[in-house]
Amino acid sequence: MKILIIDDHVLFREGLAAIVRPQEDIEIAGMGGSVREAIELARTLKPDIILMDFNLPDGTGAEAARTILEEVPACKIIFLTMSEDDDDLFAAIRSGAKGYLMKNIHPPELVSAIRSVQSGESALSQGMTMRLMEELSRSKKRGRPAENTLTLRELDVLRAVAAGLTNQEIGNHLFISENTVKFHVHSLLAKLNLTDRKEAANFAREHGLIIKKD
Amino acid sequence: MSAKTVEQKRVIVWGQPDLLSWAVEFFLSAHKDWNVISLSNEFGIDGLFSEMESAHTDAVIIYQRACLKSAHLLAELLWSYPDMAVITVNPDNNSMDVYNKKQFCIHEASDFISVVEGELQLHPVQ
Repeated sequence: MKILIIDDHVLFREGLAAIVRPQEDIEIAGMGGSVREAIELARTLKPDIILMDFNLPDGTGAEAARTILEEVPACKIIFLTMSEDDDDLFAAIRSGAKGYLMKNIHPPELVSAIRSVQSGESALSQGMTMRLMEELSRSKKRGRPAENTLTLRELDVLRAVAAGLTNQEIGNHLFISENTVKFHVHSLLAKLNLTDRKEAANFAREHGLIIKKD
Repeated sequence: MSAKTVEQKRVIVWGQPDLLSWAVEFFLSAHKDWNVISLSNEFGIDGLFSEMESAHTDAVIIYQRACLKSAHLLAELLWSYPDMAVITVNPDNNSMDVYNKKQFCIHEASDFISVVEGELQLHPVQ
């Protein structure tokens, strides 16, 4: 299988390569250190697996994952992170990643996780599974469909609403008309069973979808 | 315990036992014919000194995260092992610090001037 390693820490990236390289069934197709490089390399090399740091200098891994999976849907993404933040975990899973592993994982476990994901399973560090189950249970009780039922455009609008942007500002930001923004806002509120923008902002905050206002 | 050959450098990677420390160990082992020992800071400073005593270490690589908890450790290491390099790696970015103790013998007064001059050239006074 071909893998791509994305981490802005040069030593960590090279070290991961040294850990993985002796495995005969794994070939390192490329390495990079940013969201931009991740997208470009994925587009060019079409790897089977991407091992990616969740926090990159030019954005989060979740942002990279969404774009990559749109263009290379067969690719499987495993995030490596030092963050135990629930919001990061949920954002990672919602982005379509198949794995979310803490950086204290032992090398043999990492290699094993890569193989598991390649064979169609998911890989989560200890403790993460329980938190994910709890969140799913809470979502079910709220009776709201997960936000991955939203279109990508609705997700963009939701994040912009949560960042406090007005409809006009959102329109300018996304290059769409104010009326189209209103349409998307109505649509996402209905889908998420929310009543207003304030609830939408809270929902986005709870699910780690906040972006900073420029 | 393995015997140290003349050519083989001995490096201890000391810090939290995480993927980065293993990554550094694997990376060094893969690129150089060095004897790289990964040592968890869970064993404390005594564990590190004990390993250094037995391993005759040429360099110690320390993670800043662990090192900052015991700032006197650097001075203690350099004082006790003047021929050794101490390298700290920041796990959060790509920076590293390198510490060496330098010792010179003053044969003439000009030796002293040369050293001071050399240091001033390396670190010019603003």
